[in-house]
Amino acid sequence: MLIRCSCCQKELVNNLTLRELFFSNSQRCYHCEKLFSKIDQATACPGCGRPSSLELCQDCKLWQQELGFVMENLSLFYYDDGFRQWIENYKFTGDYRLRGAFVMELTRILQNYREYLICPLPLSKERFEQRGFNQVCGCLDLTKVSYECLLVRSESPPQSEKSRGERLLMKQPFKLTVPKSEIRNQRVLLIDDVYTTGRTLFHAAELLYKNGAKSVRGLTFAR
Amino acid sequence: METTGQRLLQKEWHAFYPQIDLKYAEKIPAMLECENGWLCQRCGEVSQEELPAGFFYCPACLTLGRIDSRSFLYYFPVKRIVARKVVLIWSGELSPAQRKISEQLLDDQSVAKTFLLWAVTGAGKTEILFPLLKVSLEQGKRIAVTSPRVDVCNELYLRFRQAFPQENISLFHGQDRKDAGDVFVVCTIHQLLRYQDYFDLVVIDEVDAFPYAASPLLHRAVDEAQKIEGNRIYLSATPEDFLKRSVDQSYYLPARYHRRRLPVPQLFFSWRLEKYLSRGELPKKVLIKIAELLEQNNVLLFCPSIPLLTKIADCIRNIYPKVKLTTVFSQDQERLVKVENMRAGNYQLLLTTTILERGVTFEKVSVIVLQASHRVFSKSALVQIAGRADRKGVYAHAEVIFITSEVTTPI
Repeated sequence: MLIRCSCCQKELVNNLTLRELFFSNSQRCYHCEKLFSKIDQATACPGCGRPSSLELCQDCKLWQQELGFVMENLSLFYYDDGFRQWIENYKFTGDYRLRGAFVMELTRILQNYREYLICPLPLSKERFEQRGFNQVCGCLDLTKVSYECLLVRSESPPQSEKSRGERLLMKQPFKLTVPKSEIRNQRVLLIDDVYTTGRTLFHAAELLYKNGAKSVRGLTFAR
Repeated sequence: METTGQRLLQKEWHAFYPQIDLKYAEKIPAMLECENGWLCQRCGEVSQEELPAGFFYCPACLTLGRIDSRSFLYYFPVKRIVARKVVLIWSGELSPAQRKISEQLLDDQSVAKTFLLWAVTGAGKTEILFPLLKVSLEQGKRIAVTSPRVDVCNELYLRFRQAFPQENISLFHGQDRKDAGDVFVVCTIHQLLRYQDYFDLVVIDEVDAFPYAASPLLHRAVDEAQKIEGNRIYLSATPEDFLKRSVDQSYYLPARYHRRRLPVPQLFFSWRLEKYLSRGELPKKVLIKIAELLEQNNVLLFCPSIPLLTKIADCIRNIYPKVKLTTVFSQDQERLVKVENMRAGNYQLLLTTTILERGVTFEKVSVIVLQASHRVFSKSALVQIAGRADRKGVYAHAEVIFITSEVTTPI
């Protein structure tokens, strides 16, 4: 029975018994397994998924002050050296085959969001052409969960066409791709690869709330 | 210095040679559509990896950066090199056996194309090549000395720089790029994918080391980088029968360079060794033996796997806190620095996996193989590991110990 590592695609030289394979949470070889360290959700910040922060962390409190809501983002893994290694090879070197690295964990967590519209954050047209793929969609595709790209990055018109007031406001980088009515009263789950400041997620969430979304939550692969 | 003869992607030209204008370069498509996918012009593999944006990329040669079906490989025509005088500095002397082979090798270049230098570990294979390299460079030939391992490349580069101080020698591999043109190149085999029909002489050191041994892609890399009419020399202490049969000319050097026999490995039985190891412990008599060896020499301790190595390292740190020890394995970022420190004598004990089984020199070391019955220690591996003992300098009573609970065929 030929089983391949979900990450590097090499044959899994069986150090696992059949029983272990059945009950394992992942399908990674010895080397790739070490790349991913799961965040314990029970002790993570309820706003951004930062590990070891039982209540809302400082950053999230600031967001709440500034924008009036909390992201409720969940993060799967620590953004440590291992994860960085995976994402560099996947996103920056461009090895599309690595997209299945944690498909089992991702599929499982998405079961908790069945009534949500699942929406991956989009890339700019340029970045998509250069990379050849959207790294979030690459991972999602293998979960077989249905998703929809509700947002697109708006190509910003030249600065000279904006008034000073418009230019000073923080730019909303996204636009809806679907009519407002499809968003109204809906629960939406935004998905991105890494949560750094949360800025992008918050922009997206603001736009959705402005168009009548009932609740917007986030899911990132790493924090 | 002339522009490189390497065939590179636009992004590579911008990164390595930003001052070069590609307007005057030749170009070929990076990939060609074929029956069952897209053929990579860099490595020869056929790819079926299509990306959502609608183009293909080659997963087989990603180590050199991603190549895709929309890109081109740019290159400049090769320039001729004028004949010149080359200075060779080497303070050692070849033994009679070495000298004989060295001269034969030189003479045979015009009558044969492929050569095997089969020499015991430490027999001085590299020095035997010096005269041939000198003559080839004087004839205006382009030379590549390649090996599957980065450690080996680094070591060869140092030795060639010392021996040929006035020559421009380049070092290319995944962790470093010392560019001095393409006349005399020391590189890992992957780097040869950037050359096409280029080198008059290709020397492959440690030819049976992983990953070259099992990879058709890497074999193809050597074939394509070498000129069709060029010569090839394989260096190995444990060549496969297939290689021995397929070369035009082979030379065998049995004695070690300083004419002392390889230390005969001693078997050290430890009946319930595996039981101790599974607990991350070492039996008392093993620990005593390690201490004994450390009193006389520094020690290289080979472990069969990385998890075991880390456990044993901790065990030894607890029991002998005064010993300066370090660990080295394939995933270790600091591997090369630690090897240098061990070489300089800053550590007394180096624990390692089979990654160090070949190519690296240390002075005054004894060698211990822990759990020598483990399947990773093939006969070839054990021979190479035993060769690490007493490698350099004055004779130092080095010992080679195989710790095992049972005797296996390789042992």
